[in-house]
Amino acid sequence: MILKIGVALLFILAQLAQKTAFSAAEPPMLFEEDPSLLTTSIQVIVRRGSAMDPEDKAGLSNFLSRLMLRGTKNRSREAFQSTLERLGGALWVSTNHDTVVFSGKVIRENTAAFLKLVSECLVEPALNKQEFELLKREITSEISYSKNRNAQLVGWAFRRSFFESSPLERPVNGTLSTVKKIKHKDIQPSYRSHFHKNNLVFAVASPFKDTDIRKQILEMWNAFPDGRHVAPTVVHPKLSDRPLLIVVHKPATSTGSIVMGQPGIVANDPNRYALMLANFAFGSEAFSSRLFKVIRSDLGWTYAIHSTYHSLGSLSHQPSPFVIASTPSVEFTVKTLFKTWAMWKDFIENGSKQAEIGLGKESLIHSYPFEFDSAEKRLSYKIRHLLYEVPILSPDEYAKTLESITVDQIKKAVQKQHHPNRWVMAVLADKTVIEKQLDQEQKDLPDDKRLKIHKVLSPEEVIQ
Amino acid sequence: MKSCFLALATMFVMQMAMASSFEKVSEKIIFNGEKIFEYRLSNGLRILVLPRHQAKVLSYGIWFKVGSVDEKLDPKLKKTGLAHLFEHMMFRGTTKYPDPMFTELTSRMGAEGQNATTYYYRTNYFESIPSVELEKLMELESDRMRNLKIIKEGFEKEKGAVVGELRRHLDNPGSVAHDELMALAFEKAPFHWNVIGSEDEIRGFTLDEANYFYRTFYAPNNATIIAVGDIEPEKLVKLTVKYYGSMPAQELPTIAMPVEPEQEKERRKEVRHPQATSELLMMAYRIPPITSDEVVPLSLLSTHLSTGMEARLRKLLVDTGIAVSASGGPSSQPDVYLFSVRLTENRHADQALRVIDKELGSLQKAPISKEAFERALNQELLSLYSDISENASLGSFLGENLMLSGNYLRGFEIIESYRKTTSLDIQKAAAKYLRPENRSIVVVKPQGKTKRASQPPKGDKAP
Repeated sequence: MILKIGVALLFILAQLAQKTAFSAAEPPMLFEEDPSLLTTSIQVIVRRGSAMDPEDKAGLSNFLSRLMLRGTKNRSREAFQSTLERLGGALWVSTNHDTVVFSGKVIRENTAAFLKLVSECLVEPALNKQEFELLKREITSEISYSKNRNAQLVGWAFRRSFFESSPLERPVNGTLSTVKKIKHKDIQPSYRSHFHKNNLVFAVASPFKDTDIRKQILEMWNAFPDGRHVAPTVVHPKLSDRPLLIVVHKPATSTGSIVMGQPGIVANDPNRYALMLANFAFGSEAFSSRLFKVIRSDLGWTYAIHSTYHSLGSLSHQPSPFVIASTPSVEFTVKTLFKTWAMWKDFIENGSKQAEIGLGKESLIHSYPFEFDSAEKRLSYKIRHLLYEVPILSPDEYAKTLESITVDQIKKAVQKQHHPNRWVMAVLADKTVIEKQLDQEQKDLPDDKRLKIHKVLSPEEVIQ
Repeated sequence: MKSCFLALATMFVMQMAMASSFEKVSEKIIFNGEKIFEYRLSNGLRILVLPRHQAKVLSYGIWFKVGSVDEKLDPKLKKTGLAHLFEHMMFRGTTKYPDPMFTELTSRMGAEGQNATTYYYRTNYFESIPSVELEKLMELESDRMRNLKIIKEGFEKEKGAVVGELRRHLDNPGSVAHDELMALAFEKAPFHWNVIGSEDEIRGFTLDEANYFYRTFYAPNNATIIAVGDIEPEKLVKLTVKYYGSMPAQELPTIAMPVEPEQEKERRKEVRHPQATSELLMMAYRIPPITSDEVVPLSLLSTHLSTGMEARLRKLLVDTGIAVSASGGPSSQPDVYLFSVRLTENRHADQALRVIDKELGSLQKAPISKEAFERALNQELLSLYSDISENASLGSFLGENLMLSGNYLRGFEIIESYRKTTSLDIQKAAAKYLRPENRSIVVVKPQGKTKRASQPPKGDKAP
């Protein structure tokens, strides 16, 4: 197999591999300079996320970070946002279990003024009581509104069962009951836990030389106190060897939503590439995977079906669950569930075919340039490398790594990582329809061999 | 007004059918110094190419000027949904490359983001590939444009997947609100019907209709290739001549869009939806087509109302606890200024409507401030710069502008129009178009607990 990647990529990868470390003198600062860019983008990554929120106040990290966008000590929310937006800038924040990430973008000519505002927002947030109350109402309304969003509901129900009794059990935004318990007096301590020198990583993609930007970032970083980074607790769910079926009861859906998951892998798992190839063949490739070919293309039961190791977002310190998600027409919901499960058992037992893996290798090797074809993507790769030790391989190394993996190694990696029956299955549909379909599909099985509904949740219970 | 069918001149079609030569139409420099080259083959196929050599990759798209509007108006079809169903069929294989070879081969070459979309006015197919794979991709794309195997088995299976897509759409209260709103706002124009069609229409399409649609609309003189990335224009043109040059031009139906009568009074409809747990308000004010100069101030008004934390609708509706989200702006098509408000639980659409009416009343009486205008303009710039930063999004940007207006540069030129616009223009446009008698309103409400609507299983075979 010939690798068809240009020399430019080799240069980019050499730059990527330059080590950026955590030190007492300056923060990790990652840069991508591209003179053709019309905007400057910044990410400030705070290495503390929702997994460290107090159990009864889940959603606190998300709450804090959104409150920080609502004014500074010197500017009201209106003055801050109005100034930012008049610059042609935008600043937003996203929280996950491991991190809080402030992301911003501005038209290039206003880069310096924009970075000053970002600094003001992070170093001197107002965190005032009035905005706290407004935001609390807003977040509560958003959580309540999730009852209208079936994909979100079934995802939360899955998460609750999969990560039961661990910090990852609750949604990043919290639930109605945990957000209710968040008080204004919780905000300042949370801010101090998140924002100290040893928790921050800065990443910038810009048309300009990094010298001036580096100076501004260093000034910002020096305004934070020292602190100790607390590594997140890594959660390893313990699942039963029999599938656990959860139903979110929503009457009158014409589509069922299915999320089924098993324990997955961390970013630097030694079997990362073997499992990536296995997943390509089984369910991740949009049109050529087994799941798509059989359940969508041949049977026509569902519009969407795919599998992923990235179910918690980008791979991280946490072994993100391996998830298969589909949205079959309601009359095919249980059929889709059983067919997917049967295909998985066959995959575990018999492995993948040489042709499937050959296709996977070619596809993944040839698409490797897309990991690096823009400044923002290169920056994203650098961040994942720094935070989660995602390996940075040259195109040759990447190709050699993938090509050296055999079908037998892939089968062994899948068998080591996975289990035919160790699933948490969450289904959103009318429970009476699901019950009837389960009876129909299992009528020839003895009672003790049947898949049974473990728990039925209402949408209200999911968000509580 | 009756829709009519006018044939193009036979001479023109014959000339097109002779094919395989090309002309360079233009070479334009856009505001950031990049160049866009335009060519046209003698069979009518248009080519746009924007070279960018930072990475050895490119995005390739083929756009057809056909969407759900065309099929509904075509006297040989008079239905909706085939344009979209057909988009699915294009992945079902040809004689040379039977299903699933197209997707396997493109996957093998490392294609990223491969997909297709259908809308009221156009259909597009796109992927990004390592540039060294361009010729193979063009062979595959041209093959499915000309030699698609439309057989009953694949057609019926694909209907099942599309019905699944439709049902997912219908489970979403927001999608249903949009469908109902367009049906209310347009009585004669084909925007009255949604793009995906009804379940009966989807299941009812015949192979003859599919073949007619394919042979008529997937013609070189109805298509544009757009490539952005690591490619020299001359090479792309040469390959296009090689793979698309022998395709004959087709006689395209010229269909007049029925003229929608002026709206004279407000229209309202209430819909109960079993999946809704709170209310949803959607409003459509009739406006000229998005390509009209008159819509420029309305687009800026949209940024003022809907973009960022300082957006007026956010402040008036979300910050006050009335809504979870709120936005308003002109649609690319249909020709409406669309408001969408997702209400907080136990709040009612009428409350949101009163707030919006009061704000629109203020906008019609006095111009927005200089600061608000500056904010809107710079947010438009940020949006434009983001849209064109990546090859795939720039390709899409050029394609949408071309399909809507016939001018692929419109998305850049509009920035100059924004700069020439004043706050007073925004005030005048709001007064002219955002009037209650010029709007339709749909409110979606939860169904309540009285109606049992779950669907029993309907047999055990896929269609």
